[in-house]
Amino acid sequence: MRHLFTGFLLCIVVTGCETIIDLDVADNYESRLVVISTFSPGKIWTLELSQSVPFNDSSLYTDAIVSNATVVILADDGFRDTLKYNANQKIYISVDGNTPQHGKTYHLQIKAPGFADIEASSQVPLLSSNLLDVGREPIKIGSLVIPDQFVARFNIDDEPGRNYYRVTLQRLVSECFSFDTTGSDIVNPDTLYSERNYFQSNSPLFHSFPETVDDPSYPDLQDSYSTAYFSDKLFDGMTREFSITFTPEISRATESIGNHFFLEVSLLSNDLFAHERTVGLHDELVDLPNINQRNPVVVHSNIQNGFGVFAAYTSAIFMFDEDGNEWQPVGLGAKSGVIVNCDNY
Amino acid sequence: MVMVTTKSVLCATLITLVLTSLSNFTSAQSVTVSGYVEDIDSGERILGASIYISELEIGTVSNQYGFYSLTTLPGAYSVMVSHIGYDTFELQLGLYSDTTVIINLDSRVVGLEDIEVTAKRENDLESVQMSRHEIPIEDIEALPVILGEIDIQKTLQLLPGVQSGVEGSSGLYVRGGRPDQNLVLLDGLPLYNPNHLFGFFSVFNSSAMKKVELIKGGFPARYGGRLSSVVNYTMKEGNLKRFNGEASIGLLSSRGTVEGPIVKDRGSFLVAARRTYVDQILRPFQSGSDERRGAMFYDLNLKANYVLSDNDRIYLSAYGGKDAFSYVRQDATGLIQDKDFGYDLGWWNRVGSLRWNRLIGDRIFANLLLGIIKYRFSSSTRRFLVKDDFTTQYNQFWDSKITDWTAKLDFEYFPNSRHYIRFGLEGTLHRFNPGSSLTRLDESGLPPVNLLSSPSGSIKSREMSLYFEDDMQLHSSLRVNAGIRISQYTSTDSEFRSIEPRMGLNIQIAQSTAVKASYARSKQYIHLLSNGGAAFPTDLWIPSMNGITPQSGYQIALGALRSINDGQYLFSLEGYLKEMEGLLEYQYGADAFEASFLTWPNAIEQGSGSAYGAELLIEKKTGALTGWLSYTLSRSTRRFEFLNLGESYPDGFDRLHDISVVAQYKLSEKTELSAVWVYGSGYPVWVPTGRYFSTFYIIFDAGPVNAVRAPDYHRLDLSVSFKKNNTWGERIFQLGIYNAYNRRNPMFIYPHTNRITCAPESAPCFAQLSLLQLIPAISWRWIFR
Repeated sequence: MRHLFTGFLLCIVVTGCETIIDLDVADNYESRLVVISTFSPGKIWTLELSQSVPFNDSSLYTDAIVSNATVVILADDGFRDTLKYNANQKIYISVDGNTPQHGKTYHLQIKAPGFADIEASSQVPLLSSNLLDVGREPIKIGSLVIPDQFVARFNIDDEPGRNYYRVTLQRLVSECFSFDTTGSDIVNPDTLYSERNYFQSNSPLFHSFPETVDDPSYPDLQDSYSTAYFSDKLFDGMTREFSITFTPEISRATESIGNHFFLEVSLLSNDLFAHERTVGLHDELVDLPNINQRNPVVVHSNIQNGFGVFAAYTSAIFMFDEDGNEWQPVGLGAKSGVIVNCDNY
Repeated sequence: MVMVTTKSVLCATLITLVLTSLSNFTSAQSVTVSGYVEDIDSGERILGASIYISELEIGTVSNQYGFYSLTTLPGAYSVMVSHIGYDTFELQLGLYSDTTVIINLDSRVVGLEDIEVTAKRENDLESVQMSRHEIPIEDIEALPVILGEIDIQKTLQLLPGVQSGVEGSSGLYVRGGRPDQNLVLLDGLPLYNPNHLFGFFSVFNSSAMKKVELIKGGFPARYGGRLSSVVNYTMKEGNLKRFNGEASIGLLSSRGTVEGPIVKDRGSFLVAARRTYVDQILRPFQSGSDERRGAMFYDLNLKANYVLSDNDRIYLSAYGGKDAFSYVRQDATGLIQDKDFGYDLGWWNRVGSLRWNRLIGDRIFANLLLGIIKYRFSSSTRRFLVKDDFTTQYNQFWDSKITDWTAKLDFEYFPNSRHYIRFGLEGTLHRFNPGSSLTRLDESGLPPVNLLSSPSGSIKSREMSLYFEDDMQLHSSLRVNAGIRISQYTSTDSEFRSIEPRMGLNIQIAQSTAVKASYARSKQYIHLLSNGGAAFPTDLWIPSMNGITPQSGYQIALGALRSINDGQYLFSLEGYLKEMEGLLEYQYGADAFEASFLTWPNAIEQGSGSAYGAELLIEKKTGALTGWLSYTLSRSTRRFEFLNLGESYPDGFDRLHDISVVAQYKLSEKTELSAVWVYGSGYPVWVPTGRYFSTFYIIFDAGPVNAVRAPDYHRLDLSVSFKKNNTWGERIFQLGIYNAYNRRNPMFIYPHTNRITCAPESAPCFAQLSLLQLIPAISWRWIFR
């Protein structure tokens, strides 16, 4: 529906024009702390901390970073970790290498000079998902048949209550292309890299963006995804099977290591999903008029006295090669066993 | 059942008591002249005609159905009957017993402009009703409009105290109110969504309308259920004498009207239709494409009436209108052999009424109205996929609808020339289905899944009201209209009552000067939950219920009216104060669409509003140059507990200064020029005051509500009409320009992060989008007589 309304107005927009204007916005803006921390079992605690700036301020992110805060993670079972600021990575990180645990609720406390104290909480959700099988089937395009299509089936055993899921498919590559100013390839013989592999699904539950999930005004016209989002609206409390199909793109970056995939099925906490959804909605309106609603899109935050998100998710990661066999990173040359996502570049 | 019976008895008793007590107004020596005022050419009854006995300096006005009744002492009198657009009729009458006179007015000999001015001046100066406007439909049709599409509501926006909302919208924001607070009546029945094309045009086809009146304050007791205004549309009845018609072609739509007698001088009909042809124009261009888009709207007005006897007449009125938009995409990829995506959106209004006029004696006029109102918004998306033997069909449906059955019984009693009494009762059964959604999934080999979500389900409610008002001439220079309206609203889980006193007075301090004042308390039991600047069809009509109180408010107005140069100029100055409670808004950060169909009861809050202002209107009524100038100075604020930290903030359509200049110049009998210039100081906008970074995104900090003002708005519209008379009737060719000097007015204001357009490049800036720039228009009309 928003598309229809937007389409209608776009007909008029082509005859309209955009003009930059001066508005008399008050200059007594009060900055607040901004927390970005999404955490998952098995991943070391990290947190980005910055401050909001006046609208007309020309500060970049690096100018807004707050590095002198006390950041504490607490759990009900007595767990306590103080994250330290790492100037190289420009994040707060657990120096002890602590990671979140399944099912636990964590609390965040931040004190920073000149700002109100910050508090937030989030519970790590419990996910039950299994890879059922991986196979191949031919692609038919009219009379043309191409044999190399992969099919992976997995299931989700859903807990009662509204849950939101995210599915991504990654493929190992031997190098990443950097989008920074050098434009060079990132190659390190001791490191494995991954990049997203598009996949298809005939599941009508899948959506390309979190903001389109269950929103009638966003009929999703995609059937090819780099990330798929969906809710359990139609299988609440039940077990449901999903099937995806995909074709590895021909790339020299996989010539030396062959086709190795990992499928990540994630259960997002409601705060994390709401944050991602509203960020998506907000981003759609940057540089564009808000024609659907007069009031601004407010990005969801569970940070008391601040902005951002402190929220958990749980992932099940299924690793398989082109024959459907499970694989391990170390055996493929990653000394640390860590795979670096090319999205980071 | 017992309760209904008891209420019926109570109502009947009340009516009997009122009639009995009213008989005291009359005296044994008095005589009554009564009847109807009719158009001599068409036989249509003329409402609002002035009937005046000059010797006694008393008079009355014909009612909504053209009926008049004047009671006085026996004698020989000269009776003057006049109305705008008609020659004044003078009748010498020996009035020694009760007499019925049908008065026929002739519009063909008008040209004696003084006469029509006198009629208008007398009505305005002598009437208690203040804050009321009536614009002749012929004047509306001559004004310049967007794309040549005549829109009565857009003309009403040019009156003082009326804001237009988003540019191009036909919504009416009257004295700080919102469109849902307007009681928009079509032949006595309310319309819930009087908009086409997301509010850019209204549903009222000017070819089918006889009269439109706008009342902004001092509401008489006979009107209720809304806080801000009454917009009263009366459809033409149809020509009783002969067939005639009208057709027109514009850039967006075409219209056609046919009217004529069913039985000559006893019954007539009118059929008017309008349809866009955007979809038909697009069709050839989409042939063979995988994608198809459609957009259309239409209106159909029907009216018929029949004179059953000298005392009885029945009317049948109906309106149906629809908007429909669609998108379909069909294609096949290598992985999916066949797929079909589509969505549809539409809304429609259906209104039908049966009215029975009955004369009881020569002083009581009764009208019974039975009506049904239906409004529905629906939307659906579908996704159909076929892959080998596997098929998936996924549908989502959204639905919001209202059905009302209503019955009204109105009495008008004319005991003598000093009293004009109206009373009546009204009952409406509402059935609301605000926002329900159905999701259906049907996959090969799996049982289908159907999921219905309806936050409130179907809500049935009853609205009952009684009113009484007396328009009294207490002194030769003092006229008062006092009334009261009592209403009760009952739904399954709650009950609300209201007592609404209404008062208006007119002190005539000179023959050409009157001072008026009014007080009106109102209650509104239904709400429009909206987050859009435009009239988005997902706006939900929600009844009052447990947890949602009715809207209520009062308005005080004071004004002066002066006629200059024997009615050539009319000056009106009014001030008003309006307070409102129980207003509804989405909570801070609520997503309007999701809330509409899934969770709205948890996403709303109620608050209050306040508005005050002064309005000046100067009208020039005669001469080759006619028109008006209106100026409004106003403020409108809102306060909600969880919005803007509980602080008061300007309403989204608060505008400090608003000016409209409307001019029509008759160059010759065949050529007429029209111009409209409007100016408005900037609307408030809710824009961010800060920003922050979230991973890859810049996020804006919303800041205080409506704290910043948009740039001022102004534009000039021009049109020229060429008329040519033929043996078969008249042809009118109209050329127009909207926004003639191509002013870039702000329609939307939004933050911009584009490094090329903003300076300095690393800081965001604000941009405005101007949509409706210079737009030419052309239209033809043919009037067949």
